[in-house]
Amino acid sequence: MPPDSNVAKKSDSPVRVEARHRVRLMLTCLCDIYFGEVGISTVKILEHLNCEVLFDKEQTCCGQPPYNAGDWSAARQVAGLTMRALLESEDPVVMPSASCAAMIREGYPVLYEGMMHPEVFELGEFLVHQLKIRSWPVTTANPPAKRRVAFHRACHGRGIGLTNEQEMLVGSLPWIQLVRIAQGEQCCGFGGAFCATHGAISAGIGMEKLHNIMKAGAEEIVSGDMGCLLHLDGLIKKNKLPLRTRHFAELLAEAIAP
Amino acid sequence: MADRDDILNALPQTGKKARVPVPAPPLPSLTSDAMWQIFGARLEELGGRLGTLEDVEVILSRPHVIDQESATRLGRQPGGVPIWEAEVGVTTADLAVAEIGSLLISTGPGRPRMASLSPVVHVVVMPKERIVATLEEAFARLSDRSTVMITGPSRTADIEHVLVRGVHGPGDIVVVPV
Amino acid sequence: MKAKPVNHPAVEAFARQLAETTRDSVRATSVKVIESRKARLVDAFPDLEATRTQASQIKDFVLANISNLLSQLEMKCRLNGVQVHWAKDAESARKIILDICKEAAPDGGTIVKAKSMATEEIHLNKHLIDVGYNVVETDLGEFVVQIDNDTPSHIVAPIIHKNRREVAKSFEREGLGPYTESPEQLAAQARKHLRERFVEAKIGISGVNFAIAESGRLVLVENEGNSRLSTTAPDTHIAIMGLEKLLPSEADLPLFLKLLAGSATGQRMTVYTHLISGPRRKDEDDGPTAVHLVILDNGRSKVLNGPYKDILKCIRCGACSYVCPVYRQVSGHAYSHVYSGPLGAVLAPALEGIEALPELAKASTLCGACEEVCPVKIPIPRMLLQLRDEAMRKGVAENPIPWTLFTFGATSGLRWRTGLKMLPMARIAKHPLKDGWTEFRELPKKEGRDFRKWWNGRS
Ligand code: SF4
Repeated sequence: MPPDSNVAKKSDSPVRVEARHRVRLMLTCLCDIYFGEVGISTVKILEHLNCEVLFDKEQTCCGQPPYNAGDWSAARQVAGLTMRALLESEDPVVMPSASCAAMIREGYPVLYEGMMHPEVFELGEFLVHQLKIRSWPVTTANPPAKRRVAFHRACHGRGIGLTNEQEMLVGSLPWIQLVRIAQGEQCCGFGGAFCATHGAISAGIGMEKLHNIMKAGAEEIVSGDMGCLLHLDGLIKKNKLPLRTRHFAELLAEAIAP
Repeated sequence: MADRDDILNALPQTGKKARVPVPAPPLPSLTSDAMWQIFGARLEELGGRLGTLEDVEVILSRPHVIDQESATRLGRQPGGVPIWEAEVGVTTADLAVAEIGSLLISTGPGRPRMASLSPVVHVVVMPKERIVATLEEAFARLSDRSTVMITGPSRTADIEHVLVRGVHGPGDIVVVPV
Repeated sequence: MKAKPVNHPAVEAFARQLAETTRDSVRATSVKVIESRKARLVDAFPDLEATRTQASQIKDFVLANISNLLSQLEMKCRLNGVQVHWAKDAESARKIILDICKEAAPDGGTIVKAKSMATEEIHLNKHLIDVGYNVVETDLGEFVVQIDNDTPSHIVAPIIHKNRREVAKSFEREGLGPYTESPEQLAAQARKHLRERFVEAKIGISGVNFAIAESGRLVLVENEGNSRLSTTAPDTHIAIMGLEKLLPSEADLPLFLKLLAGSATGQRMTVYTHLISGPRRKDEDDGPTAVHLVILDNGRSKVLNGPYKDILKCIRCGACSYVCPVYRQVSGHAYSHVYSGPLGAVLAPALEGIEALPELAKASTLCGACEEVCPVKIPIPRMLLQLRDEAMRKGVAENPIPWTLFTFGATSGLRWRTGLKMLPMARIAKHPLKDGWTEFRELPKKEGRDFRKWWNGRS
């Protein structure tokens, strides 16, 4: 069988991945705390593609917040727990966050010198490279209204070699018109604790991004990283800008018939 | 010299690590004319130009200096006005590099360095066959004397990133292959 | 509502008082250079990734064999007639250079200088001026920095923070010519003024971009011609190099020259590439009669033995600064060190010790853009993290958040779930980062359904 035979060709016909994958969901702490809908959307997406989703209720956080802040002893305590849980089975782990995936792939080998990291995937990466989805199989009978969307590529995708995976899937939705934003590859300015310890710089970077997005005529910002979304949304609300933020998983889930 | 030994002793003595050879790029087999065409295009992008011997005659009406080799080629006397007064410098070049529009000029007897540097116009009169396609080829044939590689007119973009030509070195370069 | 007075980290404090015009100047140039860089390098190298890897490996080789290569360089330079000096620190380097100057120009006089970060690093100008030399920076940008008593704010573009009106005012003040805002005319005024300095100078001082171990050749690159003039017109040329600026052989040069030009300015090649094989030979018409090379350690051997050694692969292209979102907001001056931007955020504390600059590494979003553009693939974000860790372990940096409570909650599933239920209460309590967040943003609210409730309700 040619490797690409199960790639989605048309966006209007439902695709079933032939082999039933068993995947483990890593919810991530931000989904647990703020973005429940992103977690729900992730499950819907994976199930829509015929995956069996497992969720270990004991999971907490990947440990990135203290790792980035420089408190590696705190980070090791949290990461150790997560890593042990991840290593318990061979089933691939999927998470709707490039930043957590980057932490596990890039950060864990730094924290535990030279150690192999468990196999984890960011959601868009998993969909495109493991399940070979190239355009999203829309099944909803009630497509939402057309809208202009700016896709923000989260920087932590760089760490795990993400390029346009998430963007490509979002762009394949017929009601989404992606706009090109100036300086699109620039960071949004979040940066973890940085956003508060270096608030003026962080907000300066974020506002520049938002202005570029508005100049491009977008009404919605879509990204694959909840840190960016949290920060940008806070800026939008404080400055009362005509923009809203969404996670790309929510957009894909929107296209699935209930 | 105490510093020397202190420094050398303080440096890590980790040793080898495979030395990655720089692979020779595929050599384009271009005719000299084709190479001059590329060179001319590159030079023009940079703000210089190819010229003719007639152009040189016109330019030489200004105060100038000429190096030995070009003087012979042009049938003129080498030398000229004192270097700081020269508005034009005429030199030869060892090699032209087509892919980047560069000229390699080494020093040597009758080849003052300042001639290609302090005047506002630099004229290069050089034999046509002294051209190679790539920088790699050119550097494989470097003279062991001090050499300068000149790629277009002197320039700066220090003020607001606006390009200005001829800030310290020549703002005009005319290359005449003969 | 006005923010309570807080003690901001230095870079943040600097950003808060920075003029909007400065920020605009920095941003505008940075954006332009990064765009032309990309176009140029993609055009020059069909496989840019592989090229960067190759360059990175050559620099790894240099660092792994540095003491042998330096000895080789020294020997070749001597054979070429270049006098080699070793300086373990800034003081030693200044003394060596002063001694050379005293011999070459005992009565003082003009010293012309080409742009060199190593001389900035050892604060050479001040030292030479104090003993009576007229030291003149001849690179246009550095010249402006000097007459304004300023410091460079980018390692390649020293006056990136100034606009043409500011330059025009300085030139008018210095009597260089009538007030003009035209960059051409400003450059012409500088040319005229500096020409006289080149004519009168007995000594020229420059840096070194690459020193070739195999041949002892010193390679200098520049666009204006001032560096060539500084190293050609005066009788004595003093070159100073950080000891890591080596390349094994001349065959490595094409790759590095193209990468440097493309990364630094988006050019195919820098205008002047000066390959110096020693002083004027007997049969040559001009050029300096004495060439000195000062090899500077000043903390580098220490860095080479530690976790930040990769930063010494740097070829000073400045691309990491141009692309850095933080640099674009704050300019190079915010880093309070001659080496600014992402490069400086690692190199400065690596050279000076973490105690001297404990908070600098935190002024980064860790977005990784720097590593992505770096022509020699230096893992800057990883080293920023290591610096944060080192500062914390040594107790010299403040922990932005006491992680005890988080760690307690995140190391047990049960405690985590309990903690999640208590979060609404915790939000009312004061989070250490709350003020920093709310000064610019609304607090986030949980919207939509709770994942765990939804999951539990399904099965
Ligand atoms: S760290 Fe890399 S990108 Fe930054 S100046 Fe050095 S070589 Fe250039």
